[in-house]
Amino acid sequence: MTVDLLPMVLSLKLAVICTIVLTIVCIPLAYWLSTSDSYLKMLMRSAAMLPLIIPPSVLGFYFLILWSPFSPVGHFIETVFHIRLVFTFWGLSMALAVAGLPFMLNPIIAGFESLPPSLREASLTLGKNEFETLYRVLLPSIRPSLLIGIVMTFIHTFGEFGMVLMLGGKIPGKTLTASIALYDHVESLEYTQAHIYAGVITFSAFISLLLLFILNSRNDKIRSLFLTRKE
Amino acid sequence: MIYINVCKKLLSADGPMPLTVNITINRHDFFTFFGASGAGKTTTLRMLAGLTTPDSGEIIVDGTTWFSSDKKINLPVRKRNIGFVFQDYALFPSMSIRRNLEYAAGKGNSRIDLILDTMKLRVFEHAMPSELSGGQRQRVALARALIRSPKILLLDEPLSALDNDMRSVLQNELIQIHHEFSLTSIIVTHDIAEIFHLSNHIAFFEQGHIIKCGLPDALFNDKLSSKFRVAGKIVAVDKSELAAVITVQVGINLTKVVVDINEAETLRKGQDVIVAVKAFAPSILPIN
Repeated sequence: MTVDLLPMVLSLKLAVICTIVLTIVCIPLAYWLSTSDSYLKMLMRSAAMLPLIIPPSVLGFYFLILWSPFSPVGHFIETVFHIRLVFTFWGLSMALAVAGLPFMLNPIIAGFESLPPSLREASLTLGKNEFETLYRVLLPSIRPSLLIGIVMTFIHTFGEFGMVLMLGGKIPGKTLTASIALYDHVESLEYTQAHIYAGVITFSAFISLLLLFILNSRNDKIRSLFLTRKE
Repeated sequence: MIYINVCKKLLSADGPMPLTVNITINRHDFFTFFGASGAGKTTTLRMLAGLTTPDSGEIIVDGTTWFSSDKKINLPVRKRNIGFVFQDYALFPSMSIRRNLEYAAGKGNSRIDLILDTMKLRVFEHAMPSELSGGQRQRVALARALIRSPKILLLDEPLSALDNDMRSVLQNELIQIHHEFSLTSIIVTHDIAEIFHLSNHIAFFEQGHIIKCGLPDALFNDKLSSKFRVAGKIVAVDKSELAAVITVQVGINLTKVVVDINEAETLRKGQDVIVAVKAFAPSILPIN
């Protein structure tokens, strides 16, 4: 019995890349969505929530059609940038980033919205600009929400199945992820290997969640242990 | 000198309400915006700070236009060099007291230690805001607002969440700071006692307009020529056949005043009042 580690490494790579990209994209996006009065706000929030509601296979199907060399978009990307997105690692990464968007965006928006507006305003009255206010005042204040976003996105991307099946093409080392390998082993009745893949996915998800709760609860513990109220 | 002449459409409980403000505030005034909730006091303060944009008009401070709808000028909040103390303190929860002040001060500001000592905050410098009491937090908020040496200090009901004792202590500190830092201070309040304690000028807001503007004496007790007076709140009205005993809370003390039964008809529990002594020979007792 041999267990190929490549699908696990690939899932890990995809999860890390998507989590980093989404953290960078979602912080300013969530800040804008939580502070803006723009009419675009509702449209953007609805669109960003969509991957959470519709089945991943549907989303994968649309990406397959959109990025196909026969579609105008796919054709444009391939002729101008010489990049093919269907059945490639980077195409899969982009699609998974879109699918993971609500997992990162929603907790960060909730974090920003839970802060009193006076924090941002106080920073502005102290001569700071929006960027400094965001990174030095608001982000440290929503650290638990940010951690939830990071962990949920990581777990979701690591175990994503439907979209990878639709868009990946099971190319070893490029698009054959751990959840697809698990499916293949079950289809071939290789339950021992399937157990190993399923176990790794479940265990890594559990460890990530445990880490999240430890990190988020440790703040409170430190507060209650080291701080005493001074009257 | 601060010149404010602005309009802003507000939404009140009774529908849209236009806020029109035309006011001049002199340098080193301790000015009060007074009035009921929703009258437009806080919005006016926020428009001066740049946190709310007026629909039209202009704001000119010491000859510099901060806002002008005609000239399309709207100076960003961060460039207005004001100190703003929020009702909820708005201390940054992830920073210690010292880090709050360091953030506000910016690089190369050597006033942190001076401010910590002046505001009696040295013992709390490494504490987090969540560890402090309301009064201590407000003192930090004030210190943070002052650290950049603003010429204008804006206070949005800064003492409303505090008990009377702490409020009285901080009122005295506010007066001291106002003089020590040569500030022009504007405070929003609906506490009459606070006005008499702190300010030398009042704008009386009602339904989005300034209906009266002037000295506290002129606005609240122009009929009295008393030598001594205190402001307080009626906590009890006990009427008998000929007279009534009015119990007035002044700070943390209760004062009983006997008034004519007819005079008592206009007084009710919860009302803000001024107790004035007009007698020639009040008793004065040394307390130590």
